[in-house]
Amino acid sequence: MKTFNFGFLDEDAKKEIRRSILKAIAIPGYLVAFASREMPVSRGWGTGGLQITLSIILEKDTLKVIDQGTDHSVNAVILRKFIQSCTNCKTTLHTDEATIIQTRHRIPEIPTNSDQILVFQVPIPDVLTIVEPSPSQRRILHAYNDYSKLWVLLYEDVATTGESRFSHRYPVVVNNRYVMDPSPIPRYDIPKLNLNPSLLLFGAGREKMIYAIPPYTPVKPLTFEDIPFKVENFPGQRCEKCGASNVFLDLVYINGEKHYFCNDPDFCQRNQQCSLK
Amino acid sequence: MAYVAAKGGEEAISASIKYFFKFISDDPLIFLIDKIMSEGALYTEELARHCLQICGSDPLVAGNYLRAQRTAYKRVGYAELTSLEQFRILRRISSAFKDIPYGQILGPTNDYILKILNGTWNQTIQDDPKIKTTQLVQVENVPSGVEVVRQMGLLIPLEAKETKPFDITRKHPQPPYPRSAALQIMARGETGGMLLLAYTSMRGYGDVHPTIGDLRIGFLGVYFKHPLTEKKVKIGEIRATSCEVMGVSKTKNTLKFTSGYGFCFGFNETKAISMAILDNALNFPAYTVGERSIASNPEIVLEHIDSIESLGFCNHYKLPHYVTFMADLNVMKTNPTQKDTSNENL
Amino acid sequence: MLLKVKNIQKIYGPSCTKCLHSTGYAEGSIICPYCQSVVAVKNVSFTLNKNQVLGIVGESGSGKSTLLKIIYLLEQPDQGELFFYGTPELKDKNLFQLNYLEQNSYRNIYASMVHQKVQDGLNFYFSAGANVSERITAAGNRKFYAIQNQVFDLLTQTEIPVSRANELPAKFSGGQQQRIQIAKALANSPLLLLLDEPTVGLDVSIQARILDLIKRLQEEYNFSIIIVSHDLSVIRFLADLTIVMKNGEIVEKGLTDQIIEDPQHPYTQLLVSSIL
Repeated sequence: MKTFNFGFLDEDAKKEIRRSILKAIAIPGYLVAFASREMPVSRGWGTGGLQITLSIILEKDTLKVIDQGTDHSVNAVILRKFIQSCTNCKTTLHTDEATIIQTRHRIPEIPTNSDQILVFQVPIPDVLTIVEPSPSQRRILHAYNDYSKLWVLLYEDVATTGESRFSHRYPVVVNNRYVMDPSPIPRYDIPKLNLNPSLLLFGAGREKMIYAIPPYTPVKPLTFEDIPFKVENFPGQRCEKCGASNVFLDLVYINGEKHYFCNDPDFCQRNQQCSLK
Repeated sequence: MAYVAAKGGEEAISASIKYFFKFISDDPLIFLIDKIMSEGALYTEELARHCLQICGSDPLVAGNYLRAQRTAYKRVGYAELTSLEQFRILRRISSAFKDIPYGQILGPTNDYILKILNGTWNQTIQDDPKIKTTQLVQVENVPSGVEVVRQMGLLIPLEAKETKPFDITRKHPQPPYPRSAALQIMARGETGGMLLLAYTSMRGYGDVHPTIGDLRIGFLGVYFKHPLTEKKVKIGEIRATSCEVMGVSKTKNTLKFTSGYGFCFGFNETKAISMAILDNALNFPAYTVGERSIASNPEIVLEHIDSIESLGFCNHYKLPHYVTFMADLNVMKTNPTQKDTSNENL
Repeated sequence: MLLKVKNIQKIYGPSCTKCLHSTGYAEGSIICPYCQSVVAVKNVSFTLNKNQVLGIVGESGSGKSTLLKIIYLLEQPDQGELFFYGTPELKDKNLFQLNYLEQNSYRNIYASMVHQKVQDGLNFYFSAGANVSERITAAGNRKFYAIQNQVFDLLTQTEIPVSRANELPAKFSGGQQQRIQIAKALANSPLLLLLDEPTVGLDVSIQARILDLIKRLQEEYNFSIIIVSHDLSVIRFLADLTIVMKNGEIVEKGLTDQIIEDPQHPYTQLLVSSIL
């Protein structure tokens, strides 16, 4: 059987993806179409993030892969094994040791720095999809900075229910220009996007789009000026393992009872170590 | 009652992969047989295998054979009511929760298998002696993963408008379609067609991101009331797939979860998920794109997903049509050019 | 002067050299007998001042609705120019050549339209309040409570109870739906209001109420109006000036009172004689 090229993809594919990434970085929040390849994982399971990672990773990189915040989730395990097998890179469970972090639906609790890259897996790249199903129409709206349909949605939600309907995928304004879909991260993680020192790359394999937020870019959630942006909270709850209360928690049912734990196991472990000292 | 307690994702995944390979080595045609039984609307593995042989393994034609066979049988009665808790579960996951009562039972699935043709990649897992698959999970009486949400009062309940189920094989349903009729039509629907329609919903022409509350495959006992003793008797068991999804909608200006249900003969997760999404879309039209939603339209969904009907009609065009065509030719030759009198733009 | 309309022409279809002189009032048809094109609007010109109400009267097929849509930039004419003097940023620019953003600005802020069919003017999947807010947010307003206050104010002015602002349009009567449209059209204090058969299909008493409302609002805010109707009595009630259209052409124009008392053109005479 044939052995694969470094990073599985052939060199031309990597070249096209890298050029798309560069264009995306040059225009923060703008959707760049790319000729997304089919990968050994199914569409919808991270082929976009995977193509980005495989195009930028080097043998000396240290890779961390998380899904729903944890390295042990099924999606994370498969991807980590696969990427390592075709790149020989190092892997880690610790955020501060990684140079590339590929993630589905969360930003790690421990802040990342300007030497690290986050690669987000994106199911639906275009935030306007909810109000405009036609892709050609959406391109026009983005081009003319016309997000009026989203504002009507926001007004409707705040006027009728008091709160916006977006739980995850909350629309954000990037560099005061494009309104972008931050991928299905919870509201809790939105503030982390603003002026983040790391390079943030977003890959949608099935929809064939790449977009990016370069380091230290202003990113604000799309809200009315006089309506505060609310994030998820867990009133009165703490992680049962490390006691943290200012983090995103998992709700787990054990024997019919509710239990709360840190969603991010790396953070939890560090926190436990700190409190032991 | 024993179940696999997954300690850490990697172990569970490896076990699941190994289990899958053993599963399909026992029966390499299993998913094709299940598709045929489901779309042919007749649960019989023996006949399904035979149909495949005599039609060159064309699944749509094989389904046609089964439906015809069904017509030849006399109806003796209706099975006793059952529920998804009656499943003897081989695999059950819930995407809505990290862990739920009875756990995430991965079972045999190819979800975690990398689709690489490199023979060595998956071989290492298949041959790994450390991974045991001897403990086959067969849990029973497992409530749906959606129950938790129901108990929180966050799910919009569907009103049960019917007292007995509609039977689409005895009476042709007309709009407004009763829900049981809609579910029956979908349960025998063609997987590809249902996937297509559900996909339109996922991509923006509908409620874009439902969550799977409960997906399970396993064995379901079939019970019948004995004609003489009038007692409930088990007459057999079928393989089946059940799926409950949750969407989001607004009712009385509050956001709540909605639900949708999918069920079919055999193991066919793609079809059950698509069916659940379609059921959800039919009962709760998307509240943003409105009439542009395709999957919320029962006249589109329910009239076009039967593979036997569409297969037949598509292929019927191959029949001679020269009389109708002659009529067309004549109309073109003899009719004068029609004047365009439309001024509706004014 | 607020608006100058110059030589508007709109033909649907392939069009040919003979279209223009084989259609119109004298020819009795808008369809070109040579190429079957529809000459919907033929050489229409007029001007409108500030605080002036212009009525365009004609039967269906006269071209009046097409003309209105062209003035609101919903359709492009084949020929013609349109000038708007309500704001310095658009002065001396042919509106038909504006870019996407400038056209949006004109449609959202300086002009507005009430459609004949309410489904064209309101989104039935959003509440009445959200429909009205659409113009306000399109103009760049980002403070929710200020927007909501404006919405409530507009609904009140059009006599829609504020307590019903969160209801969907389908829950309102036909007359109320039209008033929601009017409330939306008033947002951002437009200088030009375009009304396309605003009372067609409504009960006579409801019609009267809506016309009274429009007259009152015009007297209070002094915006200009172009109102299109097949009913001369509606035009008489509201308009200072009138244009009569038939077969895509203007056959007569002038002060409403003069036209009704002393119609010159035979078609106008026919119309006037048929007012009850």
